[in-house]
Amino acid sequence: MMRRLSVALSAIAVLILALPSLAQPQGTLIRFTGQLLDVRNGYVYFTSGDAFKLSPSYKVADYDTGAATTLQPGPKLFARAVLDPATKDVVELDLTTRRLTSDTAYSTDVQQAIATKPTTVGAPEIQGIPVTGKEVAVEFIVTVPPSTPLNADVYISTDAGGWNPQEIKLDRVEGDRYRAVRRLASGTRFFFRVTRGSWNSVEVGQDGLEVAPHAFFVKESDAQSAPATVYAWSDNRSGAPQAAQPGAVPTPFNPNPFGNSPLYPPSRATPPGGFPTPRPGAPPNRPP
Amino acid sequence: MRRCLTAALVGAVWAALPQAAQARATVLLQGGSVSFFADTLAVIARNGASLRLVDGTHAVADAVYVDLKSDRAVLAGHARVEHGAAAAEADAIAIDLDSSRVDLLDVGTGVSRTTRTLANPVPAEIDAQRFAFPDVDDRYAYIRSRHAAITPRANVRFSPAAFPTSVGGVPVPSYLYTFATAAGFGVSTLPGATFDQPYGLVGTPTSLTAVHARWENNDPAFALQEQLASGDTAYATGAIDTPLRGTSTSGFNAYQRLGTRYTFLVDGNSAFGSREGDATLGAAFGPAGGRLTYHLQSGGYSSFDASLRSPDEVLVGGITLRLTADIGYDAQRGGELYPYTVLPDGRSYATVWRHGLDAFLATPIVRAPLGTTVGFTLDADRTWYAFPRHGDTVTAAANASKKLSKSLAVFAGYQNAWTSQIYPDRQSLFFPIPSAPLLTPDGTPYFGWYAYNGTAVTRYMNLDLQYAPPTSSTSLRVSARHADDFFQFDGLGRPLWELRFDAQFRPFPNVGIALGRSYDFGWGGMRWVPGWSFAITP
Repeated sequence: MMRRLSVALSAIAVLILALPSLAQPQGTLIRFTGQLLDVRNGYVYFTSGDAFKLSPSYKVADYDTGAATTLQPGPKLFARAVLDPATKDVVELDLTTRRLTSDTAYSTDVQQAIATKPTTVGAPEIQGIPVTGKEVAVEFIVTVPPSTPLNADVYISTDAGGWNPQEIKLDRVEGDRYRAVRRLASGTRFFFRVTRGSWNSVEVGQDGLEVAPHAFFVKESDAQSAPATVYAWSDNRSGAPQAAQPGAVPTPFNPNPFGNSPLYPPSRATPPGGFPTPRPGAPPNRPP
Repeated sequence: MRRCLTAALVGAVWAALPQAAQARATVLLQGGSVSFFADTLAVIARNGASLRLVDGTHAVADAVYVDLKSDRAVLAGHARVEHGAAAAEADAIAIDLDSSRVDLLDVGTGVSRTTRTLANPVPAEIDAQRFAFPDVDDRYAYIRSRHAAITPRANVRFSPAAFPTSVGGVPVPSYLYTFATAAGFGVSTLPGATFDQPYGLVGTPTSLTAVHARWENNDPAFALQEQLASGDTAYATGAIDTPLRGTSTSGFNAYQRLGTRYTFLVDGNSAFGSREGDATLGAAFGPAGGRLTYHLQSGGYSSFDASLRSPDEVLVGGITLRLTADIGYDAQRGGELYPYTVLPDGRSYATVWRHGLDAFLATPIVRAPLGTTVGFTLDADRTWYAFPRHGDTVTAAANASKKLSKSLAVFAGYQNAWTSQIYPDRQSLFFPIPSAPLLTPDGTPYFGWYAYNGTAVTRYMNLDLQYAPPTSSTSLRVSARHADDFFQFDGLGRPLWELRFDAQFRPFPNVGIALGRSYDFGWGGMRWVPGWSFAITP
C-alpha cells in the first residue's frame, strides 16, 4: 500500500515539475524582437520585461542591412536579439530607429528527429509557424449591455471591410448575447468594432469614451472564437440632459414630439402622396 | 451658395492634406493573373509576375506574393531582381517595401542578405517567415486583375478589376481598394440610405476621397465624401449628398482624443434649409464620466449641457445602478423660446436653465422557470426647469429568451415608456382641451387628442423565433412586433402590428446575402403594407 502511494506521489511530483516546461513553447529561443529599455551589466532589457544575457563578444549590426551601425544600444531604439541556442546568450543585436512589432522565434527541438529523418529535410527554422491560409470558422460572440434596445440589430465592423458599420450582422442567441460565424483564412489579422448599424451607435468603453478597436488574428486551427463585451453604446444617453429643443416637447402644437427617438422609428406605411410634415408654429390642425 | 461653400470646404481640406504627396503608388505588380484576398490582404501574381518599385528596382519570378499588412514581397521560382546594372538571382527573394532590405534564398547555399542596391550580400540566418508564401486557392479571390498599383499602408488600385463569383466576374476598368486601418475611416457624415456603394477616387494612409452611388427614399443619389484620419485618435469627415430629385444635404464632423481622459467632437449638418452643429467635450474620471455639449442651430436656438455620470454600482443581487446628474440651459435669440411663447405674461424668455437627475437600474440575466433567461431594466429621469415646470420619463423593459435547441431560440421583449410634462397651475395653458378633434393625415378625426394633457405612453412588444445553426453562416428569423401607444394614429408613431422575415446566407464563399420581408398591418389606411430589404455582405 505504502509502495503504491509512494509511486503515485512520485508520479505527481514528476508531473508537477514537468508542468512549467509543458507551458513553454517547443524548442529554444533564437530571436527576440522588441523595443529596448536598457543595456546594462551584461544584460539587454526590453520594454516587454524580457531580459537576456549578452555574450562577451556580441555584435551590434544594422537591422535592415546586417552591416555595422553607428547606433548604440539604448532606450527608445528597437532591436532584434539573436541568441546562441547552445549558450542562450545574445550574440547579435540588430538595431533600428524604426518601430518593430514584438516577435519571437524558436528553433524546434530536433534531437529526436535527426535519427529518423534524412538530413536533406529543410532546417527546422525554415518551417516556421505554418500559415497556409486555410479556412477557419471564426465565431464572433458579443455580449451587449442591458441598455440595448429590444429589437436592436448588432453588427461587426472591421478594417478589412472598410469599416462598413453593417459588415457582419450578428444573430441573437441569448438575451444579451449575439453571434455570427464567418469562415476566414488563417493568417488573417484585422481590427473590429461592434455597432448597432451606424457609427452613431458604436460601442464605447466603461468610462463612456471611445475604445480602441479589438485586434484579432486567425490562427492555424479548425475553429476560433472572438469574444467581445460592449459596455455601453455611444448613442445611449440614459440620464443625459433632457435638452428641450424646439419640437421635443409633446404639445398639441407639435404633432411630431419624439423626433428621432428610437422609440418612434419612422413609419414605412406612407399613403399615396405622403404625409404632410407639420412644423412648430405651422400646425396643420391647430386648435383654436 | 451653401453647396458652393461646402464644396469649397471639402476642397480646402483636401488641398491641405499633409500626406497628399504619398498618394502615388510606390509598388507596381503585374502578371498574367493578379488575385487579391481581402481577408488576409494578400496580392498574388502568377504567370510571368513582375514587381517594380519606385526606386527603380525591378524583379521577376514565377509568382509574387505581396503582404499588404507587413509591407513585404516574396518572389518564388526563378526569381531575379535588378537595380540599375546590378542583378541577383535566387530560388526565392524577399523584399521589404518599407525599407531597403532584400533577402536571397538559394536552396544550395542558403540565405544571404543585402539591400536594394544588391551590393555586398552577406550570409544570414534563415528566417522562414520572410519567405512564407501562402497556399491559397485563387477561386476564392475577392478581386482578379492583371495590374495592381500599391500605396503601402493605404490602398491598392486594380486595373482592370473583376469580382469573381461562381457564375462569372463583374469587370470594371479600375477599382481602388483601401486598407488603411485607421478607425476614423469608418465615420461617415452621409445620411442613411437603402443602398450605398462607395467608389474610391484618391487615397493615402490618412485620407480617402470617394464618390457614393446611393438609393435614398426611392430615388437615386450621388455623394462625395472626404475622410481624414490619424490613427484611432483623430478624424475629420465632410460630405455632400445630392439626390437626383430632392434637396441636397451636407455635413461634417471631426474628432480628437485629448490624452487618455478627454475627447473632443464637433459636427454640423445642413439639410432642408436648416443648419445645426454641436461641440462636445467628453471626459472620463476612472469609471465615472462627464460631458459638456454646446448645440447651435439656425433660427437662433442654442443649448448647453453639462452632465456627470457615476460609476456603475453593483447592488444586492447583481443589480447595477448608474446615476447621472446634469445642468444646462435652452436659449432662443429674440426671447422667443418655445414653448414659453404661449404665455400671456408678455415677458421675454430668452434663456431658461434646467437641471436633472437620472437613475438607471439593470438586473443581470438570470435563469427562470421553463429553461428561460430573463433580464429587466428601469430608467427614471426628472428634469427641473427654472420656469415652474418639470419633465419626467420612466422606462421599464423586460426581455426573455429560451433555447429550444442548439439552432433554434425564441425571444420575447416588453418595453413601457411613460413621459410627462408638468406645468404647475398652468397645465391647461400649455395643454388646452381642443374644441375639435385632431384630423389625421387621411382625414379621420382622432378623438384621443382630447385626452392628451402632457402625458404620453408607449408600449412595445416583440416575439422572435430564430434559427441559427452554431457552425453556419445561415440564419432565419421570424419576428412579430406590436406597438400600443398613446397617442398613436395614422401618420404619427409606429404601426400597430408588424411581421418580419429575415434570412442570411452565403451562396458563394466571398459573398453573403441578407434578405428581409416585412408587413405593416392596419396602418396608413392600408390593410397591409409590404416591404423588402436586401443587402450584399462581404
